[in-house]
Amino acid sequence: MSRVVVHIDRDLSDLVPGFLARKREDAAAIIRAAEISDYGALASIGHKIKGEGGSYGLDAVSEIGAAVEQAAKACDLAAVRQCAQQLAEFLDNLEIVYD
Amino acid sequence: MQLTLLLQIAYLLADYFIYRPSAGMLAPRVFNIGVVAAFLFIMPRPLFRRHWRGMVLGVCVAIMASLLAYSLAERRTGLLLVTVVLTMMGAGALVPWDNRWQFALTLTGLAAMAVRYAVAPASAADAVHRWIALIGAAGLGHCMTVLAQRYRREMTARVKTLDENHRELVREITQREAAVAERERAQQQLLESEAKLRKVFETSLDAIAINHLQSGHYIEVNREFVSLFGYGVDEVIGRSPAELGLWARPEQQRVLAEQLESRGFVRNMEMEVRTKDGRLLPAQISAAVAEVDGEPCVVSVTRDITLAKSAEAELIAAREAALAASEAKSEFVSNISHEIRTPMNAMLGTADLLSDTALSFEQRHFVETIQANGSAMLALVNGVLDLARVESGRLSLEKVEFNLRDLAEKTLEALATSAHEKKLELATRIMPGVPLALIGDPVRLRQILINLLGNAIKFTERGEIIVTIEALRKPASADGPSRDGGQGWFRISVADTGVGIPVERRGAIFTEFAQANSSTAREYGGSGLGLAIAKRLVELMNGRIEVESEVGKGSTFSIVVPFDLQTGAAGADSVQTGNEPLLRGKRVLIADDTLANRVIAGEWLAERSAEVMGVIDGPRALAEVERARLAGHPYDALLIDARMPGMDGITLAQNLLSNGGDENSIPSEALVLMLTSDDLTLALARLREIGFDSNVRCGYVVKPLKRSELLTMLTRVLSPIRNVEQERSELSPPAATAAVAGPLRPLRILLAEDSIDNRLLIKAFLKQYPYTVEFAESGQEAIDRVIAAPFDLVLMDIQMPVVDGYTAVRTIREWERGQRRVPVPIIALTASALDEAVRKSLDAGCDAHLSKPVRKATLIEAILRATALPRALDHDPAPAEAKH
Repeated sequence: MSRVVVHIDRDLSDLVPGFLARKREDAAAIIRAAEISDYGALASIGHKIKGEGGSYGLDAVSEIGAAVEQAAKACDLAAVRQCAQQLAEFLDNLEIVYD
Repeated sequence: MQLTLLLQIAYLLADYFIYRPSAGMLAPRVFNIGVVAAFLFIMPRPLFRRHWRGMVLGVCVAIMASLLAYSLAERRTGLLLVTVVLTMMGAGALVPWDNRWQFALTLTGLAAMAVRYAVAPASAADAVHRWIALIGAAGLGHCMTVLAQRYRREMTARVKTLDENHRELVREITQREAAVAERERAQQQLLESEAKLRKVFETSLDAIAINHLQSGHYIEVNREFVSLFGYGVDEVIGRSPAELGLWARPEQQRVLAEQLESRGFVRNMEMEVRTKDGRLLPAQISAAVAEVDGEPCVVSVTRDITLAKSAEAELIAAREAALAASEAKSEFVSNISHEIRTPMNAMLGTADLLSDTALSFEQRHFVETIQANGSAMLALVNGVLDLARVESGRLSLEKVEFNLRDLAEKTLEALATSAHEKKLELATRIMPGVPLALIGDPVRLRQILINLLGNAIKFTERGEIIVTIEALRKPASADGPSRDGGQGWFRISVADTGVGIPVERRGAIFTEFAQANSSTAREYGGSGLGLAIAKRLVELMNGRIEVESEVGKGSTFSIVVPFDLQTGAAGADSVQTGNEPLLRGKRVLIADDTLANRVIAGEWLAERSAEVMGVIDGPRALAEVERARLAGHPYDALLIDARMPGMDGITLAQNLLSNGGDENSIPSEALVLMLTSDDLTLALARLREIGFDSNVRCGYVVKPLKRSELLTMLTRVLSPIRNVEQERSELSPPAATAAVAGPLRPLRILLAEDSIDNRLLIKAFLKQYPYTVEFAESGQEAIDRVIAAPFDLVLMDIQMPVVDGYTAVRTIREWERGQRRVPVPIIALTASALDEAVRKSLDAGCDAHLSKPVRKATLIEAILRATALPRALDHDPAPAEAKH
C-alpha cells in the first residue's frame, strides 16, 4: 500500500503521535475482542474511533471506526477483522504534514 | 160648468137690459134663471169660494161685451171708446199675467166681433147674441185653461211627491240589495277561504294538530298527522298525546309544555315521537298557543326529520372521516419527513466526510453538488415537517427571555454570507425606544426571520435588505418595575429591493408550495414553504403578517407580533456603558454607498452624542477629510464600507494611511472598516498588506453591522492607550470566529468525554480562547463535578461507560431544578448524526447537539451560540407558583 499523505493543523502536532499510538492499541483491541466475539466491546471501540478520527483530520480513521461499529452490530467478525487490518495498514502508511 | 152658468147669467142680464124682452120669450128665460139660481143654490160653498173671482170676471166681461155691442149697434162712438178703455183697464187689472194668452184670445174675439159687425152688420141683436156666445166660449176656454193649469200644477206636485217617494224607495231597495249582495259575497269568500285553509291544512306535508290547551285533547288533525302517526282521525280526536303515548321521551314533553307555558310558543324543537306501530321517529315540532273557536288551544306542526337526521349523521361521519384523513396525512407527512431526514443526515454526513478527504477538483465539485442539493432537500423536508407540526397543532410556543437586538443581529449574521455573496447589503435598524428585553419564543421568531430574510435574499439581485424593528404601542408599565412586565407589540419588517410581487399574487404567496408565479420556482428555486410556515408561526404568536410590494422596486414583509416584556428591563438595550463617554462629541465620517447603512450607523452614533457626517464614495470621503483637516476640525474617526463602487473601502483606507505619512505612522483619523463576510480572507490579507492590520488606530467589523460591536470597535480605535497586544488577540480571532466577532468572555467548560483523544483534541481546539477546560471521564464524574462547582458550559459525550450522557444530563437538570439554579448550557456530542440521537439528547435536556467527529469551527460556533443568550429558569416551575 502506498503512503497516505495527510495534512494536519500545526496546532495539533503535539497530540497526533499519542493519538496514533492509541489507535494502534485500538486496532489490537479490536483483534482481541474479535477473538472472543465480544460484539458489545467491538461496537463501542468502533463508535469511539468514529468519533475521534475526523477531529484530528484523519477522516479515514473515523470511517474505519464507523465500519467496525456497523460490522459489530451486524455480528460480522470477518468484516471487523478486515477493518482492524485496514486501520493498522493506514496507520503504518501514514505520512503527516503539519501546516 | 160655472163658466157656462156665468155666461148664461150674463146673457140673460144683457138680453133683458138691452132688448126689452117680448112676452113670448119670457118663459124660457125664466127657466134659465131658475136653473142658474138652483145651480147657485146647490153649488157647494168651497167651489164658490174657489171660483168667485172667475164669476165676477165673467159678469164683468158680459157687461163690457153688452156695452160694446150696444155702442156699436147704436153707433155711439163715445160709449164704445169708454167701454173698450174700461175693458182694457179691467182686464189689465184683473187678468193675471199668467193668463195673458187667454186674455189675448178674448181681446182677439172682441176685435173679431167688432170687425165682423162693422163689415157685415146683421141684426144687431143677432150679432150681439153670437158674439156673447163667442166671448162666453172664450171665457170658458180661459177658465178651463186656468182649471187645467191648476189641476196640472196640483198633479205635477203630487206626481213629484210620488216620484220622490218612489225614488227614495228605489234607492233604499238598491242599497238593501247591495248590502245583501255584499253579505253574500263575504260569505262566499269566507267559504272559499275556509276551503282554502282546509285544503292547506289537509294537504300540508307537515302533521298539523290542534289540541285543547287544558286537557291536551286533540280537536283536529290533518291527513299527514294520520299518515305520520298511523292513528285514524277517530282514534285521535278527544284523546291527548300522552294517552296515545306519542312522546317517546317524557322529559322532552315536559320541556315542550314548559316552553309553551312560559313563552307561548316552541320553534323547531327536536323530539322523538312514537307512532302507532311503535316506531320511534325523530321529529321537529313547532307549536303555538292560539284561540280556536273561543277556546285556548295549541296549534302544532310536526315534521318527520328522519332523512335530515340521517343526512346530518352522514355529514358528521364524513367530517370525522375527513379529519381523520387529514390527521393521518399530517401524521404521514411528519413520519415520512422524519424517515427522509434520517438517511438525508447520513448522506450529508457522509458527503461531509468525503469532502474532507483528498479529492480531485472534479470530485470536489461533485461532492459539493451533493452537499448543496442535500442541504436544500433537508431544508425542504424540515419545512414540510414544521408545517405538518403547525398544522396538527403539535407545535407549542415557548416563553423564555431573549434580547430582540441580539436575536435580529445573530439572525442577520447567519444569513450574511449568502447575502454578501450576492453583493447585497444587510442591516438591522431598531427604532429608538423599542424595548428589547422580551419574553417569547426566540427560536420560532428566528425561524420566521430566517424565512423572510431567505426569501428576500433569494429574490433580490442588487441593493439591500433592511430589517426594521419598531414598537407599536408604548407598554403600559414600561417605567415601573412591576412583577408583570406587560406586553408590547412589535413590527418587524424585512424590506428588500428585489423583483417585487404582482398584486394578484400577494394573497397566494402565503399558501404552501405557492410562489409568485410558477416560473419563479424554476428561476429561483425553493419550495414556497417558507412564507407559509412564517405565516403559521406568526399566527401562532397571535400576530399577523403583511406584505407591501411594488414590482421591480421590492417587497416589504412585516410581521406584527406581541411579546411579553421582561420585568424591570425596559431599558435593557445598552452597550458596555464604560465606553460611551469616549464617543461624546466625536466627529465621525461614514463612507458607505448604502443609505440604510449610513442611516443606521449614524443613528447609533448620534445616540451616543457623536457628530456624524456621511459620504457615498471614496473620493468624496478623501475630499471631506481633507476639507475638515484644513478647516481645523479634523474627523476623529472614519467608518468605511469596504465594498463601494469605484474606490473601495480598503483603497480608501490605504490612501488615508499613506496620507498620514509612512505606513506605521498614526493617522489623524481613527479608521474602522466594515467588511463583508464572503470575501473576508481576501480582505484581511489586503489589510495586512497595507499595514492596516497592525495599526492601533485601525479596526474592522464584519457586516451585518451590530451596534455593540461597532460602538466597541469605534471606542477602541479612538483610545489607542490600551494594551495593543490584548486588543489584537480579541480583535483578530481565528477565521472560525470571524462570524461571531466581538470580545469573547472567559468560560469555564466541563468536557465529559471518555476518549482521551477527543479530550486532548477539544482542549487543543480551545487553547487560543479564554476558556478553561476541565475533564470528566464518565457520566458520573460529570454529574459530580457539575454539582461540586458551577460551569459556564458542559460538553457532554453521550456514549460513555457506566453512566451515559443522557442519564448524566437528566440528573444534572433534575439537580438544577431542585436547587433552583439557572440551567447550565449543555452541548451533546454524539458520534451518530441521526435524528434520533439529536432528539434524544434534546429530550434529555441538552441545549444543542454536535456530531462527532467535531470540527473546530463548529465547536466554537456552538459554544458561542450556547453561551450567548441569557439563561432563565425555564425548567423551573417556581416562578409560575410565585405568580399566584
